[in-house]
Amino acid sequence: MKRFLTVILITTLLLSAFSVKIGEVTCTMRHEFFQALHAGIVDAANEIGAEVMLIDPELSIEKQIQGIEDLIEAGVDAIIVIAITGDTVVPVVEEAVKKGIVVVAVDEVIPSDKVVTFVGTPNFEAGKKLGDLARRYIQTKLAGKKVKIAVVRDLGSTIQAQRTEGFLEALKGLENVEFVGEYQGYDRDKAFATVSDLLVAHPDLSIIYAPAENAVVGAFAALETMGRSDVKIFGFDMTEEAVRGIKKGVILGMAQQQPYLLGVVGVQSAMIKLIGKKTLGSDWLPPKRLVPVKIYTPENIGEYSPPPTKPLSTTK
Amino acid sequence: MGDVRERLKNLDLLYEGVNKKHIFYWILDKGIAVIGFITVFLIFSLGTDRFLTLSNLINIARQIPALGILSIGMTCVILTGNIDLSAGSAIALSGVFLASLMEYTNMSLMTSVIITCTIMAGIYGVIGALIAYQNLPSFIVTVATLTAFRGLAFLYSNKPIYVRDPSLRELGRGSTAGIPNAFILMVIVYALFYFILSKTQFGKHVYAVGDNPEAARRFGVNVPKVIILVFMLHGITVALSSTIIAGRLSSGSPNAGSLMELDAIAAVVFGGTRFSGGKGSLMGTLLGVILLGMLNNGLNIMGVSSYHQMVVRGMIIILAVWLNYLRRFLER
Repeated sequence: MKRFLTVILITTLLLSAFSVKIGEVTCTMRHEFFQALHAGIVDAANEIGAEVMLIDPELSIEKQIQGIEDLIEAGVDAIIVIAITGDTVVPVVEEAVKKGIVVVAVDEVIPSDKVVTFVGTPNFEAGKKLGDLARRYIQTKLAGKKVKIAVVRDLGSTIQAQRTEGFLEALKGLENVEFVGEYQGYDRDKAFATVSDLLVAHPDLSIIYAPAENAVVGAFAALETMGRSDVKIFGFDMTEEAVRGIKKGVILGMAQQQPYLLGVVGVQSAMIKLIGKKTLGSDWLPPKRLVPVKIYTPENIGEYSPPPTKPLSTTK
Repeated sequence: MGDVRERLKNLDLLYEGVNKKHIFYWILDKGIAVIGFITVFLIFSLGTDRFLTLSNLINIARQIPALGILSIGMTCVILTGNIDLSAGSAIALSGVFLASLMEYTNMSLMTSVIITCTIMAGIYGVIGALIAYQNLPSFIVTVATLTAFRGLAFLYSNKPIYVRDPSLRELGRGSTAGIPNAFILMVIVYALFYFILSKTQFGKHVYAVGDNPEAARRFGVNVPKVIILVFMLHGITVALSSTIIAGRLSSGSPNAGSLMELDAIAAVVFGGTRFSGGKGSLMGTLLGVILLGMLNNGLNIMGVSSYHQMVVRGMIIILAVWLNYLRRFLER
């Protein structure tokens, strides 16, 4: 019994000596994407016995700054920053680094060389992959016809702008394609209304590009309501609705980011910087660690399984 | 006319007598903020050893000035019985404008701030005129400007304008003799507005307009002029607040200040200012601002989950509004 207690005592002492506190500043916990990212972070942290402190600024850039300041005060070893806009967190991130805290940028690039690495989705390339799918669709099914394409997205998001650039890049040189414009669709309702209006303005619309979860669902709902299965959607981030859309043949291509993996790789990167030298022989990290998207089409939709939005492990 | 004047004076005396004599009324009047302040302070100080440290107190002092200054203008607006729901969007617009002046035209911080203040005062002067002369409800007008300002901010610049001039960053993040610069600015603005509200004729008119605009008019107060001036002053606090936020971010962002008007209104209500106007104080608002700042900071440091935080903040606001209502009920 005595020996048993000693063993427990020693293990707890060892664990506390190595215990690492990781701060996570997210954008909002109301989106499944960020919930999945958080789940990845918590699971990876549980694996190594680290503690996670989550700050949710509810999309306020000012509160995001305050959250990082509070994490500095709370004495964390590393902060995983999922910036709302990269530029605005630069000053406070550099302050954190000055105090010896490891900062990892996840999902949104933070333009500062003090950040150890960026873990994210290759947005331009993912958009281009969808663009290639759209190109093939136009060349095979719509050859010789006039093709009108509209983009519905959150116009304030730089990430979605990159995805759109990639998509349009892939369509360059197609002569029968007319790009109608980019329209606001920051949430499902807005995207629904926008697409309904678009169909009135351009009844001959052929393709909608919706580089975000909400825009896809809103656009799909609007097309269904108006009974327009001839208009096809290419978009980002799977949901149950999107799966139904693909099975129905209205959605022809979806890029699925891997937020859970982004979280895991975020923690991994922080740990490499914190203890990599001792345990791995090096703490070197590439400036970018990109987690590729998965592309789903009506052909391979059977392989899809949703990413977890809750941690799989329990906190130790 | 003379009769009304006499009656107004008596009413004033009545309020003053009540407030000074009864501790119960004092508690309801200023005490809500004071007691809330002390309670929250104690809970966090005992709850975590990271809260009551000098560096964290400085951290809080660095976090509150933007909201603090915005709440000054909001107090004045609410004192006249109006409201501004577009303050957060106005901060975004003002912020990108200021940043563009500093970054693209190389103006100094001082000149840019003065120009931004003037323009925001002008814009809010127009809003005030619509409310005062056309009798439009401020609630509706500012709901409209809420979306319009945000749209204008994005039209002006759809991404953050990074400012290289270090003086802006210094104002938002730097400190003088250990005290954050923004905090010093906030204290100065509070002192200035405290003087305006309590020591000048104009200040008395602000209270009179909020208490009873009809009586104030008969008393000889130019009610529309007071409302317009209050909105212009509010515009200046919006500009100053946006300057601090831009300093904290080193950039003017069209996304800045989202929902900040709600925090400012909450701070004003915490501070015991009557929502229908005519009664309230800047000191109460300041306590409300610090209370909100401590709340955000303390909950973060204690590692309270974000969903719980939303609920806790909501409950506390309901409690404050209820106590405010209770006071009005007892005053009858």
